Amino acid sequence: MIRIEQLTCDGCGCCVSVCPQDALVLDERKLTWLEERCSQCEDCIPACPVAALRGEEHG
Amino acid sequence: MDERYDVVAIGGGPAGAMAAWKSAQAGVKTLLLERDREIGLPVRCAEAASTAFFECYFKPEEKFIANHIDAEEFVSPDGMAVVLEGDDKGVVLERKFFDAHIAALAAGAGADIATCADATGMERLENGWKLHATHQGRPIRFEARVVIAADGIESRVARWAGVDTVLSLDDLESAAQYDMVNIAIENPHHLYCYWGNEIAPGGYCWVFPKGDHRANVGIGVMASRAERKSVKELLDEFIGARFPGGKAVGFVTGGVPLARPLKELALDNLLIAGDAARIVDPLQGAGIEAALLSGYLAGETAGEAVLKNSCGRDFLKTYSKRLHGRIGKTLGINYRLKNIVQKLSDEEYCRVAGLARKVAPGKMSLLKMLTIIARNDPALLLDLPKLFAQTHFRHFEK
Repeated sequence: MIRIEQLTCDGCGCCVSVCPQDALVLDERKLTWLEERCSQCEDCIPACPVAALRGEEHG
Repeated sequence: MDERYDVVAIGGGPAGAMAAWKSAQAGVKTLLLERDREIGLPVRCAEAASTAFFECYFKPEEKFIANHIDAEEFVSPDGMAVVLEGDDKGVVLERKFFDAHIAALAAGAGADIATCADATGMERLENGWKLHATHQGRPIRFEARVVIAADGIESRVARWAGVDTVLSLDDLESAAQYDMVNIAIENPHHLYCYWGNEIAPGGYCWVFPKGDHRANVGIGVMASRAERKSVKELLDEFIGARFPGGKAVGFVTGGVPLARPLKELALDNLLIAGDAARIVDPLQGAGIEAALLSGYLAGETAGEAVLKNSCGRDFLKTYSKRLHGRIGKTLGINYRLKNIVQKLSDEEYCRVAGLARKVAPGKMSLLKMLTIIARNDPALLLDLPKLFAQTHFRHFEK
């Protein structure tokens, strides 16, 4: 799963632009991760300029 | 805000605001949607541009020009600089005033403008789109005959219409920047770009002066090469080494699409413009000029389409044709050049810079520099003169 550090995220949209599943959504600049859409490719992690996204194992 | 518009531009940056202006000028009912609280903020942009490019659209105003530029310096990893004195003089903009100026032109021509207005989805209608959005936190819906997708790097509006706008990590430049004061800049009328795989893998750091002791200082890194350190950490190291006394009065992150332009920029009742269309110059990461041109053509085409009651792809594709005709070739060549530049080792950077420095001062041009970079790719070398042969967007004829 993808964890978002909300206090670090600047809402720039880099992660949204590389997500092939539309699993990251910026609504009113707040980033949300939609687990049911995510294919776990983790491309969003290196896309983030401030390392606000982390991949984590379930449980 | 009403429930029905002829044209809705989504995104209040230069592309969307310009599109709204031209569409409103055509006399059709136009709305400009901006997600953020204020048009022009936050400034996710290094803010450098050539002077000539916007003068064909509107008069420059002092309030949106922070500084005048007469040369560009490329600093190679060994710290040596190559000075490029181009034919075009440049400026560093105050984007917050620049963007607001274009939005004001749109409003003056009759466009409605909604800020804090975030599009969240859309549905196909027989002759248009039904848009879903939140406006100041409340859900709203309205109809548009033509939607202009100018929603920047995310490019989700085009995705809703079925266009694949997903960027590969090789084509995303992940960026961060400070508005810095209290820094000494050797020549406050030069732009500085620092290259090197330690400094900014697959990208560069920039110092774009906005006055004697103030600059937009930032970094762009190829996302596929962001490994050990975050982009922000790399920028902090760069600043710590060069401007230890500098103080940041602002910080913001952003993304720059360095991709090939989308092939199809027009669908039924939809046009794609600006960064959303992937028309940023892939070599330098400059997007404002192409955004204005695409907005101009999109707004004009959309206005005409509504007046002719012909909003299908068959008519709208004239936009795609015109835009690709103006800048398609340039962007294609620069994309190939980008792929070479991003793979240069530090030794190769220094060698290219060393060769460039042998050219007499004042005689170094971008073309000469690119010729050195592309010397091992004969096909690309042959294409280079086309970069300058194509009608350039900054000399746009109305």
